Amino acid sequence: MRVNLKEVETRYFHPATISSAALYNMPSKKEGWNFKWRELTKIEGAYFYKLCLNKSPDKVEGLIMMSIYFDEMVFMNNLELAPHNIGKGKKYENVAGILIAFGCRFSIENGKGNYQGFLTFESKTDLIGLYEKKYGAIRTLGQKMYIDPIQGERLIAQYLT
Amino acid sequence: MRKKNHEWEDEIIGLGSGLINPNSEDFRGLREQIETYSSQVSSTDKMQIKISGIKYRMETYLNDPSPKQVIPVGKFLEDLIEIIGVYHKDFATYIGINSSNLSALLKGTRRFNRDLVLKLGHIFNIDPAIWLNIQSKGDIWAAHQENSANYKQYKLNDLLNKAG
Repeated sequence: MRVNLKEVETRYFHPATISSAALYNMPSKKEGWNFKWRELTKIEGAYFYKLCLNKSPDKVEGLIMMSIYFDEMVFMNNLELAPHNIGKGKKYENVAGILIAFGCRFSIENGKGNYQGFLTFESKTDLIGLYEKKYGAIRTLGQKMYIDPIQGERLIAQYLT
Repeated sequence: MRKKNHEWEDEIIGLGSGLINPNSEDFRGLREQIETYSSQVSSTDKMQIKISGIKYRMETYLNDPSPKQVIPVGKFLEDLIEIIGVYHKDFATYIGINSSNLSALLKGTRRFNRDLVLKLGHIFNIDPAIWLNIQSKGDIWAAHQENSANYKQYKLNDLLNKAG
């Protein structure tokens, strides 16, 4: 899927693509990533997607891992941005929004029944307010959250078009 | 070591672990709350979500360079008609064709044309070009399957050599 990454310094948009990711695409902790994506890739039944600039298709800007529970409910297990897209000196600013919006789109496409279009995930306790404010997520029991289909379509319109 | 700063920590979701426990109390609570929410969503809104699901499936299929199977464009229309819960006869009448022609479109024995996809585009809010592009994708796949060896012989270098 084609999207555009916004460069922080120049404010220019750069064409990028979200595509399915496999083991050989995965970055390592040595490259500064937090999660062991190469280990995660071995989990059967999970879906992995990478976001890369068209001009540098081998360099991953962000990753998302999702699973479908009970054949109906999409859960976003993990999402991480490349180290150079994090913090005050980050290169591109809308990577997380694009991947979360892609997760919403994935759920509208692949979710079933009452769960179609709901993107569910787990948040750290002190970040719940941030996800509520920034992405319109709703908190349920514990640290579990979801983005409903209507809000999901808003994020899709905001980040994927 | 990364610093803990909420200004950017939202860029990471999850704990880097694998699959979660679907039998945990909070997971069950999550499911129950979504069930409750969904039961309050109007049937019209649910129908719109399902239509969006087909629309995104069409886009994904069209952009997939190597789909696992060829999906006839009529299959997407069949699914959409099922979602809106309209009899085939009534749908055919509404778009100005007879039932047997609609049946042929759904089976793939009749081709989608510009007039039809413009109507479908307005009814379902799906880009008319997508229907024709999916149809073309199927046509090209079928032609290639029939005689792939024939097409492989066409190469730019070969053309330039022969053209002198």
